[in-house]
Amino acid sequence: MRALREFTKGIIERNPIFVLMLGLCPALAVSTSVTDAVGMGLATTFVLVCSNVSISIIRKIIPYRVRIPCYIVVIASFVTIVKLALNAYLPDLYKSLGIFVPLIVVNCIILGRAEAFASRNGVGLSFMDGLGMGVGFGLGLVLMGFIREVIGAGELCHLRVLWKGYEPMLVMTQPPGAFLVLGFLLGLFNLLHRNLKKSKD
Amino acid sequence: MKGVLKMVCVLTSICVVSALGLGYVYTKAKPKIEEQAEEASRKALEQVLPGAVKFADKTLPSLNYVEGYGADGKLVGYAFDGEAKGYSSTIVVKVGLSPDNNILAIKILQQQETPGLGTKAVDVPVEETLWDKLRGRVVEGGATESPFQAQFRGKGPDDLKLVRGEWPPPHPDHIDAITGATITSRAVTDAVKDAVELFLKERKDEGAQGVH
Repeated sequence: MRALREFTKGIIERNPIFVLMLGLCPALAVSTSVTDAVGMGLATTFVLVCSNVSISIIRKIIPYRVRIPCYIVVIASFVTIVKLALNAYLPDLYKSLGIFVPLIVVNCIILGRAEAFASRNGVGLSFMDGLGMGVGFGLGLVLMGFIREVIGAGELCHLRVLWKGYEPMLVMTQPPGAFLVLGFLLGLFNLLHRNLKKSKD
Repeated sequence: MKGVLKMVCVLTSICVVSALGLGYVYTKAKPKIEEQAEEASRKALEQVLPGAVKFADKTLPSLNYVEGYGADGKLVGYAFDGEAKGYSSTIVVKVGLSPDNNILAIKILQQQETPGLGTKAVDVPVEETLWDKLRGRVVEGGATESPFQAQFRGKGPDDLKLVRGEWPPPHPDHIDAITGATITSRAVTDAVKDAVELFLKERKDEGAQGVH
């Protein structure tokens, strides 16, 4: 039961992008299309789950004072594996994600979960926590990617969805559009949380 | 002292284990990555030299090029790369040139231009909609090449002039710029023009010396 709660908390209640506001840099940069968002979400989830599990396994032998370097080595190894695998098997996705694959290393969500959760909890719970946070991050990216791609290009997964002759709102595919979409979604999430709180009281 | 030793030992062992794991993954992924790169460059060659099946690498003093031969052994044309600085990146273009010095096709290999503006140079317009795909309907007659790049087909070295605001093609004697992306358009045109001119000049020099 607790495991399930660790999983679901990452999706709405403590969503990394909209509630914890971690990992905003990739969220702004790689949400121009749904395909990129899905790829980035999966890559991050893989790294998050693997690093959470490994750090949870070795948490008792890591000396407190060098814990951060230890986490970084573990995280960087998994990121390199993802990078090599994408390069070898999905070159198109690798090309469009570009610099943001290696930058997963410095994604605050991953180091944050290692420090705040995996170093204090067992393997099973850490696995569920990583999975939940990864899925929450991925869904956030896909939501932003969906809005930006449909409005900014009139396409979805690089296929046309709006009527012929729709003039795309180009700003949405560019950085200002990312900030606009993120701002509106943050507002929406805050509203949601306030209403949830009220109904609980 | 004991604490320091422990720190060193733990961190070192984590690094060693990671390095071993990564080494293993790298040896598995490397041949696949090389294969992908080779396939991508071959695909680009086949696109700029339509009909060519056999390729031979050649060198000139400051330019490498490829000769492409068709299935019947006839020379289809030459392919070489050109590059120029675009709006936000270096644009690399592969050019296919026929034996009578007309452009067969070009293909942009590398660019990081503004999405939605400069990237129109490489974007292939999508005719098929998501609804067609879901219903399994096949849409015929979609473009396979970006309209901007298609303009280069059949142009000679003197026709590579950029003109603004004369869409749609065909323009037999110039290239029309992309609206909102003049710098990108100019970079692509310059990259192609410079590469063609360099190629023709160096081949002429080679011919003058009687070296083949």
